[in-house]
Amino acid sequence: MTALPHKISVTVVTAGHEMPLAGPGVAVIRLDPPLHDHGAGDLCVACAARTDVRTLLFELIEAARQGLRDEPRAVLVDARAVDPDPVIAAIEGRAPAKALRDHTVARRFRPAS
Amino acid sequence: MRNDTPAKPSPALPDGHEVEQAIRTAAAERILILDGAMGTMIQRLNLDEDAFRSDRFKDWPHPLRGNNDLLNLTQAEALEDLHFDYAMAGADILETNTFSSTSVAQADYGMEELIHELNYAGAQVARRAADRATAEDGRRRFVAGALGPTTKTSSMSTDVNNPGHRSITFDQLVEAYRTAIEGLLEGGADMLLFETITDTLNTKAGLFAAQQVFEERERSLPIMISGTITDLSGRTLSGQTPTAFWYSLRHAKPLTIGLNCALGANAMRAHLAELSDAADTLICAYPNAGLPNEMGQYDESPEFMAEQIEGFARDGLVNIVGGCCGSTPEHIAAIAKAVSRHAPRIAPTIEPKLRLAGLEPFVLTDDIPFVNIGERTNVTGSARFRKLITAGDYEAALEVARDQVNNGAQVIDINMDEGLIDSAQVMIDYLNLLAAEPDIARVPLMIDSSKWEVIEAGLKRVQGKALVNSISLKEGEEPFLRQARLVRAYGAAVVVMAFDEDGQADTQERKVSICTRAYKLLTETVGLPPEDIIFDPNVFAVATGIEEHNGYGVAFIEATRQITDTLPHAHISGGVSNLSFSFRGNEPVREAMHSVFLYHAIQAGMDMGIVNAGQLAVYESIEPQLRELCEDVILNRSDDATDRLLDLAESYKGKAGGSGKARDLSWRELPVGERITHALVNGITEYIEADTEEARANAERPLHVIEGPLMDGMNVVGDLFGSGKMFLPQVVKSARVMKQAVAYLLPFMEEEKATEAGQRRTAGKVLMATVKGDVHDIGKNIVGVVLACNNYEIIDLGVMVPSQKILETAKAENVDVIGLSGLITPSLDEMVHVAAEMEREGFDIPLLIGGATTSRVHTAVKIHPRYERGQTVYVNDASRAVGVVSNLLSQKTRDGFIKSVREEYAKAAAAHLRAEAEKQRLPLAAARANAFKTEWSSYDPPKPSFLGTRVVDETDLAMLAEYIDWTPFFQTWELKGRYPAILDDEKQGEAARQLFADAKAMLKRIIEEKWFHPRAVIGFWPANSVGDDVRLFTDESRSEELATLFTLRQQLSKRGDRPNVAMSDFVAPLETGKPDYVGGFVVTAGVEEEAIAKRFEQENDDYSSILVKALADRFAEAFAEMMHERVRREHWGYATDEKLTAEELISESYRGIRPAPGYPAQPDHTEKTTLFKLLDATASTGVELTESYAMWPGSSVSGFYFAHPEAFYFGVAKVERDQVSDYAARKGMDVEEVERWLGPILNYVPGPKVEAAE
Repeated sequence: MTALPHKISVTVVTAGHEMPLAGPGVAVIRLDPPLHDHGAGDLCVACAARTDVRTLLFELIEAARQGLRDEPRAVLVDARAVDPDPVIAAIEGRAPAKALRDHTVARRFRPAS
Repeated sequence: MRNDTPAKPSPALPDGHEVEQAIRTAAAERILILDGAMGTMIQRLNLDEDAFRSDRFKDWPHPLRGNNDLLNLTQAEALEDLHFDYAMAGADILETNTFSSTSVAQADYGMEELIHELNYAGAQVARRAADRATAEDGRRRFVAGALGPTTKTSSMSTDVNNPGHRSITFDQLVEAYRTAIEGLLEGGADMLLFETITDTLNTKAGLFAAQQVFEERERSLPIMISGTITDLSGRTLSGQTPTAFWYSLRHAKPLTIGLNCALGANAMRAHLAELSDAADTLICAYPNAGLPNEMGQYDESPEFMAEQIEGFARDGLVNIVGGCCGSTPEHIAAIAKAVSRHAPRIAPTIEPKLRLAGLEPFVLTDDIPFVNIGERTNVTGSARFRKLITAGDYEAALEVARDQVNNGAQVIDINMDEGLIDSAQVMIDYLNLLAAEPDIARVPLMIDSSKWEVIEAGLKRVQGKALVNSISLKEGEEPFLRQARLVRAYGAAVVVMAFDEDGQADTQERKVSICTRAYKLLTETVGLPPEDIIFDPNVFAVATGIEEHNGYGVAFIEATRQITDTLPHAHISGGVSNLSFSFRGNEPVREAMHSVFLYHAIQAGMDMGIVNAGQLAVYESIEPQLRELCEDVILNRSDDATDRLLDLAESYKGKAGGSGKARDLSWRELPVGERITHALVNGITEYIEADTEEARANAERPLHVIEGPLMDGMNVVGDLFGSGKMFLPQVVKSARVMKQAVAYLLPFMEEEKATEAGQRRTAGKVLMATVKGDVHDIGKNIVGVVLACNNYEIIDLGVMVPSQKILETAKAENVDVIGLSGLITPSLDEMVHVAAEMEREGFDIPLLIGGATTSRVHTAVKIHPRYERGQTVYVNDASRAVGVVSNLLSQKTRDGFIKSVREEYAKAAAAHLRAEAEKQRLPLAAARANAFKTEWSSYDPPKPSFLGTRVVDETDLAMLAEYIDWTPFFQTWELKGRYPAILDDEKQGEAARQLFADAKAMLKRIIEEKWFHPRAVIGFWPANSVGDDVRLFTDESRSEELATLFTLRQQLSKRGDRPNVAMSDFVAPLETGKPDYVGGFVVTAGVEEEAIAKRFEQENDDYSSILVKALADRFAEAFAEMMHERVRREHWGYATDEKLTAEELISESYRGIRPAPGYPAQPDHTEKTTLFKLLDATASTGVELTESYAMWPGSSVSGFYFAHPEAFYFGVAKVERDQVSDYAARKGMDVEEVERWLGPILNYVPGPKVEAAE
């Protein structure tokens, strides 16, 4: 038994694929297209709140920590409306971290195999 | 004033002190106005690339459009007009257009060399606009030199896979900020504004640079600090809470602290309120004008934004307001007008206390008698940590820190002073890695080293407010002052050793005089707040045989007392283990000495220390003779004390120390009643017999002890539990203390039993039983314990209790309430039966119903109508039990309570009836037509590695423990939430952690002492489905039938195209000719649990009794999970390459299912008979079936295995009359009997079919 919590698996659903049924304990995150143009990776708090998958994943476990919801067993990310590459890069830990929460997310989530 | 030509500096640069005075004076009268966004206004100018470049930069090699700060040089006039517009709109403070004018941010444009000029010009442009506005309307305007966060972050890595990496260091940031600050200062800024702070450590570097510049030029400016919070959690991007953010930066004594940017005003409000309460300086807030729209523009109107900001003003949260992204002069005018109607915030007075911060704040309040600083991350204090660090095993070294924090360390000491390593570099590496671990980084750090370079390296890596350990006057005043000034500039608190040019202080006088001298230098010369000073007056070894050493203990204690009395707000710390140096190798004596020393030193004012918690005895539990001698030695009470202690010490040699954890024992000083309450609330059994005896000696009768102090204490427990401040595991521990106290009193009460006065008055008698056929009793036991805590007498008849015995006992004992419990569905019927029997025998006492399958609706619809004389109440929650029982037994509340229960049940029953009537009923034929379908022709069922049964004697408990799913364990104790998040839960976390620690400790014993002997049997058989049945065959020829599994089909109308499933759908139909298989299993944690639980009960330890049962349940479930995994990977072998983490196992993300009879996919418990026969389970595992088909022992799990890749868990839910008749016919049972077993899932009222007549 390790002291570290187990990682929650994250499945990214990209354009052209059906969203699977979520099932109990599976959280769904829908990514909306960005509000406006800016350079990829630029810090924009407004867009981060809508489209940064790591912000949204962090908010899931944060809400669970605050007792607002159960911690998800798994997460489905509906990335059909956005460019999936940055989303996958973020989940796989390849995108640069902008905040401590990005490190937390890297520790608590993993891409579904 | 022409483009490209910086104007000459103003003749007189602003005087920072005068500016601060002027602003504070004005801010006391009204809310001041900061200007709005520059970016938005620049956008409106529609400047093209050429306009950005002008002549000067026309050949610059980088594209420059978008470098807004460059406009200070190339479009100064236009910018000045924008500033001027803001000033005339009502702004008192104009921000320079220099947000990105640091070398880090300008690197994108290759303009690192222009930093000074950009900032200088930026200040000048704003200055001119300010002066113009003042000339026009006579009102003073201030210029705030804006400093952005830069584009890099020093407190964390940008690469989540390499958390120790940093793209910029503190020193690089200091350099970058320095140049910018010099430019702003020389250009005539009135103050500096660090804004949009995303990383506190970056800003600490900026503040450090400002401090340097101010000192060099002997001119300082007021500082404004403004952070940004965008997370739901209310943290900065670098992870701090608003209060921690404030504590980390308040050393700069800023003119303002506040927030800007973020997601609009409303999102900022709660965090602003937190800062407003915490900070004793001005609060400044300037949110965005909402969120950007698709065009990148912000569309919150001036009126709307003003209204929101007026809310801040109305609530007294702000002193200065303005706008960030998206705001315009119109917004600022509206805001200025709106807040002019309100008085400015009055800053709170903040008590001078030591306030540190990690990601979260820490305040040394009066409630904390002693801060024990975790020292296991100290290479000089922990051999294990030293090994890990020298071996470079940082991961394990971080676990050491995590454990300390999890175990409650409020501050952790980091020391890397080891000769074989590069201490400074290791300190840096370790702190860098630690910063990415939010559950460690939440506490403040003590940066500990004898080398100043190492301390400084550490301070440059922590964004929070740390403690430095230590500095001293050893080398004289000059280095002391230099280091102290740096401590202040880095924003840390500091431990000061009582050490001067003449050496370490050993007498009371020298300790006090050195500390007094240091205190004066620190508070008067350096300006360090006194509450940030911790003195270490040196703990030296006593009992060394050298006479001069005898007074060392007294010297420390008395110096502590004098320092605490004469140097206000300073703290005292010390390393306690030095004291007992001469008793090395004699742990019991060392522990006793530490404990005695701390006991006296804490009373004298010592409030912090590095103490090995494992090296500390409990003061009260030290043998009196040893304690006395330790006191003689430490307090130097007699000349021969050392000799006598040495003599006595001989007899302790070689013994292990007797210490528990270091604890605050000040409660032992309280009067006996309060001690009993303390013991009950904290679940401490250690002293309860002694305290009970003391209370008994004082009381007229032993009974009075129960009715007096013990019940008083339990009432406190009850109140705390009722108000959600204590949790179930803690209450059960309180009950253990109570029981032991009562057990102690019993013999005394026996003596006077005959007299009436000897009879204990209880609040009432409650009979509790798990009904016939059921063996589960954890929940019932918990309710019993909680009721007993509230002075109810509990008669617990145990499990599998027939109704006759319940009723007879109830009569004989004249009980006031009966409580029934059950876990499996047949128990529901048995409860109805007990209720009917109570009615028949003329009972009228209340009947309580609880247990996992019971429900309010079932109670209202099925049980309540059968017992009209008395009241049935559904109580499925230990925390509700006390309220319900006391309401039912009190003359005053009884009638009203019963009335409300009846009304509630009438409503529930009516709603149930309505829902039943409206239900879409699907005929069985239609349900079958909509069965789950799969393409059998393209599926080849895997063949198990063997057919028939196999017994597994699994004795590796340690391995089984790996499979434990802890979430249901916490649910058993009514701690709601998922493991492991529950451990960090704000409210329940402490209780959960304690419970988990107890569970882990017991788990360890279970494993080491082999308490359980788990056993399992599994089997596989050739099988094919025939309709809704699954036929099992004796062998592969599939000619001879072995048994039939009967399954039930979902019959509720389905939404959409979801099928009506039966378990048989997952097995290849006979007609497909595909050879398919089905498996089965029974596992048990073993029968041993019962005896162990009983033994604990007899020892008056219900807590451990319930704990062992709950763990046995977990072992059974874990065993089932492990067997299923082995089945998938080996025995059936269809998933040989499956590799799942425990979490994935728990989330059942594997192929195949293992449904159990009696549970949703097959609600018929009687199918267990077939399963048990097939496996010969009773003979091979010792598990028996009761008459209700519960498994005994209770910690057992059984079920069938299905391997089809699309098989999933489902619930049959309700079934109709047509299916029940069909099922009864297939199974060869009477319809009535089937109806009895399926009672809870019938979608109709059994009996003659009346609907047909309508």
